Order: sequence, then structure tokens, then C-alpha cells
Amino acid sequence: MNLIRGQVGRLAARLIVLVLMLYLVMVPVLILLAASFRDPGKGLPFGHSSFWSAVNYQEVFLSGRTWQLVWNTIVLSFGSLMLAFAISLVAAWLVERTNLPGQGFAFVMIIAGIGTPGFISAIAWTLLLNPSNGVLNVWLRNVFGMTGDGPFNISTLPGMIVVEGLGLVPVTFLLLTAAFRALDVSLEDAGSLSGAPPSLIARRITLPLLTPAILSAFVYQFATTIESFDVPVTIGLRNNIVVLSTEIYLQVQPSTGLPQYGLASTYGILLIAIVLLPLVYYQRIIGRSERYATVSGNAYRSRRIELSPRAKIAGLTFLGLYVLFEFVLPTLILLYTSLHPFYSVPSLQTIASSGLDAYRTVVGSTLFTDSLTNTLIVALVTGLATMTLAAVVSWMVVRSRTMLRPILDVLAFIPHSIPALVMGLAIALIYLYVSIPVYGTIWIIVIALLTRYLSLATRQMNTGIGAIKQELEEAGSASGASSLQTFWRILVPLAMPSYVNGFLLIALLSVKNLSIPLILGGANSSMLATLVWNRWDNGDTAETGALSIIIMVITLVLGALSFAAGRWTPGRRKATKRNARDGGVPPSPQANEPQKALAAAVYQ
Amino acid sequence: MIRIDALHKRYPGQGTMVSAVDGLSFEVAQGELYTLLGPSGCGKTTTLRCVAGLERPDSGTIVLGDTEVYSASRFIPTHQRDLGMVFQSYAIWPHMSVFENAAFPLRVSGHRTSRAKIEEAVSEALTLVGLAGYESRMATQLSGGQQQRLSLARALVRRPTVLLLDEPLSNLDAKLREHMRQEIRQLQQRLRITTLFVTHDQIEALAMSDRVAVLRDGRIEQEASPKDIYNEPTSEFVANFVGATNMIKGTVLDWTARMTLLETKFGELSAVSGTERLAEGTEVTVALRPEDLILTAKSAAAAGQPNAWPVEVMFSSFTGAITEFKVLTESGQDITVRAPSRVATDQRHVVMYADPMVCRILPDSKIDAGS
Repeated sequence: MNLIRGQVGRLAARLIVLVLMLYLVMVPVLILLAASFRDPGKGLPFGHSSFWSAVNYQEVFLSGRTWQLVWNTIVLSFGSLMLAFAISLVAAWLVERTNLPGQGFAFVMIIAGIGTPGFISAIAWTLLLNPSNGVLNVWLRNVFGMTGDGPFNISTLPGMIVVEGLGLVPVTFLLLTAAFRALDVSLEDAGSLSGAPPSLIARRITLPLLTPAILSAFVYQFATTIESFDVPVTIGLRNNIVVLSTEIYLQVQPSTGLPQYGLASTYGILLIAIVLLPLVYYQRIIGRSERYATVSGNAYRSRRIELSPRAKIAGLTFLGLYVLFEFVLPTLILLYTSLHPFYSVPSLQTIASSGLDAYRTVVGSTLFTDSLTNTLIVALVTGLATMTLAAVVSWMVVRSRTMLRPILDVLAFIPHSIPALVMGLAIALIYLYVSIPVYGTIWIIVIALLTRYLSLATRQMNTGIGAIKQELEEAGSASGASSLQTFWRILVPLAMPSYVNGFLLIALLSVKNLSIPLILGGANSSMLATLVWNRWDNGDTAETGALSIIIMVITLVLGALSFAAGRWTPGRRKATKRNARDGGVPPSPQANEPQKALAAAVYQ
Repeated sequence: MIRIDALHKRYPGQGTMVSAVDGLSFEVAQGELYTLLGPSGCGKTTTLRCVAGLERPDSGTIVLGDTEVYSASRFIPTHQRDLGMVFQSYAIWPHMSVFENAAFPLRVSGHRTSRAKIEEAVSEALTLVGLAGYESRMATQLSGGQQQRLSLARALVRRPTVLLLDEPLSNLDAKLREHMRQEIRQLQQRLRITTLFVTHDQIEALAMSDRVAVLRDGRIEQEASPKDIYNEPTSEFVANFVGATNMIKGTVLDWTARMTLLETKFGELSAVSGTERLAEGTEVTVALRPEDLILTAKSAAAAGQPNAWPVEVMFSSFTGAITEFKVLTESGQDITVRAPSRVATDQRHVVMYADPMVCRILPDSKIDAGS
């Protein structure tokens, strides 16, 4: 009797999860597809005057403008990737393989910008390098006695590439340092023992061995840049440089007329198609990279290349310049702007007349307190809900041997290929017609964020739950614990680190995200991100600066917490798992997993 | 030839600097296989890595062949030292074929080697380790044992003056390990290549070496041939680390150049004298190997003999050829005895007998009377 009840309960639980996942994942995909095949007539895609037609596809694929957008998207993507990988490879090599001084500090500074939302960096760079009164431009003009605008203009494709590329560095750097660490140093030592000088080892051994990792990081980041929205919307639109993601935004929120949901959906599907290809390839590389797994031995502290004093200065200058441009200058300009009610180019006089008025105004307004409350609630609820659903799904994916397993696996993967903006669009379409009263509230934002980050959360939990061997649960049962006791006293404590880490990541991402609140936000669901955006749109630089600094503090704290959680847990777990043979705990590939997950996650 | 003189290497530990290698000196003769044996953290791997140039010592000198590769004023980088090394993890490059792995040292050498010469040398090295015919395989398609052979072939392919082996057998299963032990030793003897071998496995050390140095806390505790290390350990540490040993504490009653008579908890014990004169009342430790002890049926004749004590068998375990006994002396001391199973006793109360010639006083265990 008990057995039957258990079976029924389990079946019911599976069914509920399956239905929930199908609803969350498949409905947005289907509604996008459906909307893309509707001619809205003079209304909305599923309104009275609409009908089935391929007119959207005709308009999108037959227009030369579309190919211009695709070209812009690809140029922005590859350009920023080249920049980010060039910087990250050098930085990772300097930090992981040489005896450069101050490496711990350098590491922290390189990833310090990881929590900064893309649109805030973009705003900062607009303040620094817009052609008329960008701080750096004005200074350069004064120094070289130039007149007029310039010399630099951030609102160009090269300008966007620089901002996007610098922003990609922290995650790329983390992915590459993880790869450097996972590389067995004795493979390089064996090269030395064979008589190969360091340059030859770098070329013939290190680089070929790192290639799969570099390639997979490249493909992963490619998917990130293709869907990037913050930089194009903040910098590009000022100068009419449109990419696919901003085009979708323009169609959904046109300056005049009705939103063109059908057209936007078609562009969305085009974007998904472009992202999907590299992502599927990425999955394959990940699978193939196991081919390079080798026997690991007595891991020894890695030997470091000794740099000459001149090389050390060059290396430190390189890292210093990067940190200056990626983190220090943008933060300083926002801080400066926040202290002055009217923007003027910084000079000694203006700095002396700084004041905290903007912060007082911001903190005093109910709109701010509402936005802050909304943002925190959304971050908290999205984090909890996403991780809880992900934990259940991963548990079924990892443990179940039924047909459910591949189905849930695929369902959990799909949102990964849907850019946040497109997800926002799909969710907007659904709740225009489904009569659940969430439209215009923060809950629709939660639903969109939850769906968007479900893949990430599931992957995080898959690693966590996959690491818990089934024997541990079985040993619980064998010790006389009921399945409920086994769940609470064995599974939950062991899975908790992954859960907490994932929660912090998703909370961070929810605070950073601009595109979803921008599309789904209403009068009563203002978020900090949209608040900054509106202030910036209205030209209120002081409050933009103040709000940006406040958001940066929140994301920096969340980022630091999740980084600490990611680094702290596996060390402890590993210490018990492996008794270090030669004193120090050797770095193992698994030790980098959370670091990698964090890296993989934060910049989405 | 390898000569190491007053080698020091310290690492930053918790708050202080920890000495990994503490004034180590030894010399390995041409064609000799010299083993550094010791528990983890004794400094054996650090020493090997200093010889390889993968680690920079704090002070001392290292000479390989007739080149000084490290001294106060000199540090020759690894790739310019005339070495071959087999790593614990084999360090086989997964992105190269078997042939490419073995050919790498020849390809990167400064002077140009013709393709035919390379092929000849590689095929010779692969034949040497029994991997002929595997040239075109990817390195990752090899089994653990084969990777190990390839690693050896790569280390030998450019005929270095010195071969370094860093726990090369520890990743193999027991049967293969025994086989490779013999094979490496035979190869080393055939090539007469000077070899420095690092291991924590005493059986490997005894089976393969010409000479063994037992290391403890960065210093040499004892350096001798395998036989002498086993039969004549000088300290409790060595006696315990190399093979199982019963340690028996005793006080000197009488010393002659041939025999020393000791008072122990369970009665008098005669042991063969060392070179050093021991005063009456000196406390020493005697090492008794379990296989040197004999258990015989209790008889009146046995009871009166020297070095024979009544004991009680508490536990016996049959392990095939050997049966191992745990016996208890009348004074309550635990002693391990091993006997060939065919002659093993099955009685509970027996007499334990030890030939005075196998009772070795450990010279370093001496505590003088009155101190």
C-alpha cells in the first residue's frame, strides 16, 4: 500500500514538473513562432484584424536593412571578442604563469568589473568619450590645441567594440585562467626536460593543449555578444547604429504607432537561429574536450616563468591600463557626475564644488524606494524560484532513468539560446492573452527572468547534484533513514553550496538585467535598471550617476559573495575527498568548476 | 654522474619558512641507480626537481656529468640540462601521436637532425620499451602501462647522461608495477645510464636500486645498499620504514666485541654487537624482523636456551605462503612473527626463539646511562 502511494506520488511529482517546464519553456517559443507568422492587420498579432501570413518573413529577409543589421551584429560581436580575448589571454598568462608581483590583487582588479551592468559601463563611456563634451575628448583637445568635436567618437562601431570588448574581459579572463589551471604543469615540464626552450613550449605544447578551452570560451562568449543589448542600445542608438537586438527593441517600443510584435518575433527567431548554432557546437566541444583528459599525478605547485624587470614593468603597465579603462575611469566618471547637479567637464574647480544633492534627491524619492524594493524582491524571488525549480529538474535529470530525462534536459537547455530581450518579448506576448493578472507587475518580470536563467541554474545544479554519488543516498537508506530523512539530512546539505552559489548568481543577473524590465516594466513595476535608464534618457546626469553608483554597490556585493561561495565550498569538499600528498592542496580541475560556472554565468 | 652538495630548499609555510631539503649531499656514480626513499614530505621529490631544474634551490651545488648546473653563481635552465625524466603522471602530450611524443626531444634540439636519423632513433627507443608498431597511434589511445613506456622512451630517446624517475610506477596496478619494476631495472643496467629514482615504496626501492638513501625531513637518514638498508638499519625510523620490524627496548648488562647481553621486559636477550662499545646500563633498541623469529613447540629443552621466551599466540592469519602471528610475551609485549605456512605452529602456548645474529642493535637508538 505504501509502495503504491509512493509510486503514485512520484509519478504525480514528475508530471507536475514536466507540465511546468513545458509551459515555461515551450509556450514562449511557440508564441514567438506563431506571432512571426501573423499579419497583424491594423492591430496586434492575435487581434481581430490579424491573419496567418508569411509577410513578416518577407519583410525581414527580403530587406537589405536586415543584412545590414546582421552585418553590424557580427562585426560588433567579432570585434569585441578579438579585443577581449587578446587582453584576457595576456592577462591570464601573466597572472597564472609568470612571477609578476601583486598577482592576487591583479586578479581581483581584473574581475572587479564583473558585476557592473553593461548599460552602466556604456553610460560611463558616453560621458568619457562622446564627441562634444566627453571628458577624455575635451582633455585631449585642450592638450593638443584642437577645436570642434572629437577626436574620438564613442557612438561608432569601433567605439561600441571597445566598450563591449572591455566588458567581456572579466568573464573571458576567468574562463581562461580556469583553463590554465586545469592544464597539468608536468606536460610543460616534460617539454623542458626534452630540451625545448620556453617559447617553443608555449607554441608547441601549451597553446595546442589550451586550444579546446580557448575555442569553447570563444564560442560561449560569441553567443553572449550576439545577444548583447546594453551597449548597442545605450551607445549605438544615439548614432543610429542598429544591431539585431536593438532592432527588436525598436519594433516593440516604436516612437510612433503600435508595437510590431510580429516583426519583432521574426527578428527574434533570426537571432535565436544565429545563437543556437554556436551553442550546439559549444555543447559538442565540451563533450569532446574530455578526450584530452589525462592521468593526473602528484600535482606540484606550478612553476612560474621568471620575468625580467623590464618585462615586469611592461606587464604591470598592461594590466594597469586595462583596469584603468575597464573599471577605474568608468567608476570615477559616474562618481564625479553623481556629485554635480549640472554636468560639466571635470576640473579642479568643479571637483571642489562637489555635493551629495543628487543622492539626497534620489534616496528621498518614493520612486527610488519603490524601485529598490522591487529590484530586491525580484532578485530574491527569481533567485529562489529559479534555483528551486532547477534543483528539482536536475535531480530528475541526474537520477532518473526514464524517458523524462532527455526531455527535461532539452527543455532546460532551450532558454539558453533565447536572448533576454527576446524572452521579454515572448513573455509580453503570452500575458497579453493569457488571463493571469501579472501584466504591469513585477511578477511578469520574475517569470521572464526565471525562464531566461533556467538553463544556467539547471547546469549549476547538475554539477552540484552530479557530484553527490548515489551511494551516499543509498548509504542513508541502508542506515535506516526514510527517504524524507535521506533527502533532508543528506541530499540537501550536500547540494546546498551549489544552490546558494546559483542563487547569488541569478540574483546578481536579475539586478543587472536591463532588457527584460525595459520591455515588461510598467508604472508599478519600476526597477533600478529602468530607473537609471529613464534618468539617463531625460538627461539627468547627476541622478543617473548616483543611481549607477548605488547599483554598482549592490552588484559588487552580490558578485563578491558568489565568488566567495564558489571558491570556498569546493575547497572544503575537496580537502576531505583527497588527502594531499605533498602538503599543499593541489589545484584540481574540479576546483575551477564553480569559478567557471560563475564566469559562464555572470555576463549573460 | 650526479653530485649534490649541501643542497637547501625552503618553502614559505604557515608563518615560517619550512625546509623541504636541508643540507642534502650525495653522489651517484656513473651507471648507478640511486634511490631517494622516504614518506611524503621528506623532500625527495623536491630534490629530484632541483636536479631537473624545475625548482631553484636556495643554496648548494648540483653537478651532472661534468657540468655544474647549479651553484651560487649559476643556474642552467632545465632545457639546457642533459636529462631525461619520467613523470608520475607520465606527462604524455595528448595532442601528439606516439611517434611525435617520442620524437619531440630530437626535434627541438638545437642541431638539425635529419628525418631518417629521427625515425631511426625513435624506432630504437620505442623498440627498447616494447612499443614498436604503435608509432601512429594517438597518445591518448594508449593504456596506462603503455603511456608509461612511451614516457620512458621519450626520456631515453636523446641518450641523456642522467635519467630521472619520479614515482613512475605509482599509477600502475600491482601486477603491472612488478613487471615494469624489473623491466626498468633491466633497461637501466643494459644502457648503463646514471639514474636518480624517487619513490615512497620500499619494495620498489629495494628491488631496483644499487644504493638507497632513506630521507627524513630533508636529510639523509641512512644511505646504503638495499641489503644493508634492510638488514642493518641504523635507526628506528629506517627499520620501521623499510619492512616490518619489532622494536625491543633493552638495557645493556654486558658487552663483548662479539655479543651484547641485554635486559628486556620479557627476559635476557643476546644480540650481535655493533662496532661501538656500549657501557653497562646504556639503553638501546633492538630491531627484530618478523621473519627472523621462530616459534617452536614448548619443550623443556627449549626453555633453557638463550634468546628463547615463552609466548602466547593471540592471533594468526594465513596469507598463503606466509602465516603471520601476533604473539604476546609474558610481560605483555606485542610481537609480530612470520613463518612459512608449511612449518607454522598451530599451538597456543609456544616458545619464541631468535638467533643472536639476527638481533640488531640500532646504533642511533642509544641512550647513554645516566643521561
